[in-house]
Amino acid sequence: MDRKTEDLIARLAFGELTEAEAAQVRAMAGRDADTAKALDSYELLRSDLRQMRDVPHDQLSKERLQSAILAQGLKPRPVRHGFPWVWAPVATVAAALALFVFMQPSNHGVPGGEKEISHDIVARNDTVIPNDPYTSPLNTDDTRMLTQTIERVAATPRPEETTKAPPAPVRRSRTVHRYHASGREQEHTPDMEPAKLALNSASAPRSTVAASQPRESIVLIQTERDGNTGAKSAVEVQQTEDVIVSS
Amino acid sequence: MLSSALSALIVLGGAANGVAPQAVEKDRAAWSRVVPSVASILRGNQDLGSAALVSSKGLFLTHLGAVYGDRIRARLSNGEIVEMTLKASDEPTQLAVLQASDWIKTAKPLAPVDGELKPGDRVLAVRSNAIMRAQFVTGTRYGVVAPSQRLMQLSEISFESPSNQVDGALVVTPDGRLVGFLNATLRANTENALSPTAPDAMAEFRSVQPMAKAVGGGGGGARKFGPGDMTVAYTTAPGVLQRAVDSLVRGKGIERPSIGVDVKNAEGGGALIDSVTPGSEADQAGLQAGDIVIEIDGVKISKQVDLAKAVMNQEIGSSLRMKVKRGRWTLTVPVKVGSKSQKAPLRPESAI
Repeated sequence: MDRKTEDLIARLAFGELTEAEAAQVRAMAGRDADTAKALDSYELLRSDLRQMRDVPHDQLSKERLQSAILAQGLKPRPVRHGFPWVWAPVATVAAALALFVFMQPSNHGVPGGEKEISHDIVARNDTVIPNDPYTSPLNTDDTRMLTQTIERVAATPRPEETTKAPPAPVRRSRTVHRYHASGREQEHTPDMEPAKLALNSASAPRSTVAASQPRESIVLIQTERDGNTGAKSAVEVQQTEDVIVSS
Repeated sequence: MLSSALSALIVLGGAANGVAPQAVEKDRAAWSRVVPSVASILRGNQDLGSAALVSSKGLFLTHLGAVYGDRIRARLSNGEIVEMTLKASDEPTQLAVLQASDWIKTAKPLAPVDGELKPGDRVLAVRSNAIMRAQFVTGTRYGVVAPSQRLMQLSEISFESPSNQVDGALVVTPDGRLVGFLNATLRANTENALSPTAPDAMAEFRSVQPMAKAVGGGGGGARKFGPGDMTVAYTTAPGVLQRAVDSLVRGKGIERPSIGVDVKNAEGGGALIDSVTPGSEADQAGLQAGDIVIEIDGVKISKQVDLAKAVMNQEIGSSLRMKVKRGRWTLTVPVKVGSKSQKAPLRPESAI
């Protein structure tokens, strides 16, 4: 299964395809056992992520957000206790201005009179607090509001790691895919039918040469006989051929 | 048989054909040394192939193509007809060992060559009464043998295209060492080694000094041949032959290191597991079809042949650490190396 197909499978599992696309990919999975297996793996991964209590920020998914919002509803904005330090510079300037104004002699004949000061309402911080995704004022009309970084995960093998089943922990992988709010990744057409070499075919063997490797040939000794010599017939093919070897 | 073999040598050599008399004499002498240790397998009056004495206890090594049943007939070099019983066989190498009811007691068992052959060394290929001078090209070719699909190391030899059948021809060195039996010949079409599409084989062929034409043609001096006149053939490699003989003469099949997978090249590199034999070592270790093996004991695996070579060089009972990609996971899996022997199925026995 190539990377393009696997991308489609991952997006299907995380609910990022349209209905038509999803149907197409599911049909593909129905025809190919490898694809179906990969789809099961990704759906299991999504299920595992859903069960995790603390989702790391870099693994945030739209699916999880939506599920959380549906389950818990939008939480009331928390009461902010303590000083919002991001506004410290503004407060300092405001305080300095107020002091300057207050220290000026009054020109209005009102000793100690109050001077109307325009109070700018400092807008409350409505932006998303990174460590509290549930308070995000998510605009559910935007299907791809957030710029997400979905990392393909791979279990980093420990020296003594041995297993007979896919490992459970999800850790940072080397491959990063970015799904932007404005669009989608390039459309892919999966390679459905990798070519295979029929070992006993009388047709000429296909020759594919890896551009980065020197050509090496192997000999295929077939069951059919060479009419000229009576011995088994042999052909030479490049090692990159789709030859099955038993080991 | 000896007289007919000498006649063949006369046809083969001769100063009148442009071959130096010393060369003919050498071949004659070589064949004379070997003849007492060689028997012809018979079915009725048909000569099916040659068998070479490999043990002082009357064990003969032959090509499986000549074995048509558990009990067969053979003719010794002195003309005596003897009975031979099949003791052991191996399908990938197409070798079999027969126990003769009688043999020439003074005959010397032929020992397999032990890697001392060099490209260009002269060898003799014997089939029935035809003796062909051949050239050893290399002992480091790799082949996949159907139907077992086992990877096997092969020797490649070349000789002038024969006018008769050469399947199972016995190949020996001039000093009487056993090279093997002809298993297969390269198909003579444009996809084969004799064409530009297989430049490595062509380069190897051209690096070997061409043989002098030995039959017909007339004229003086050695002649050189182009590829179109030559046949490329394969036998088991010397090391494989030695191990085969050692196992078969003990009446045992050849045990090969095996983990129980069928693999092919993976896109992007690695060996893709096509199937896992149920109950095999690979199955017990948890390997699955679709897994891509990328490393074995720290050695990178870039294609299926790399994996097969790595396994075939292991000791039976040892353990491999295989790094495997499964989807987006990378696993390190210890796999024990088991063994597998493949006794060859026989053709139905026909009346002797």
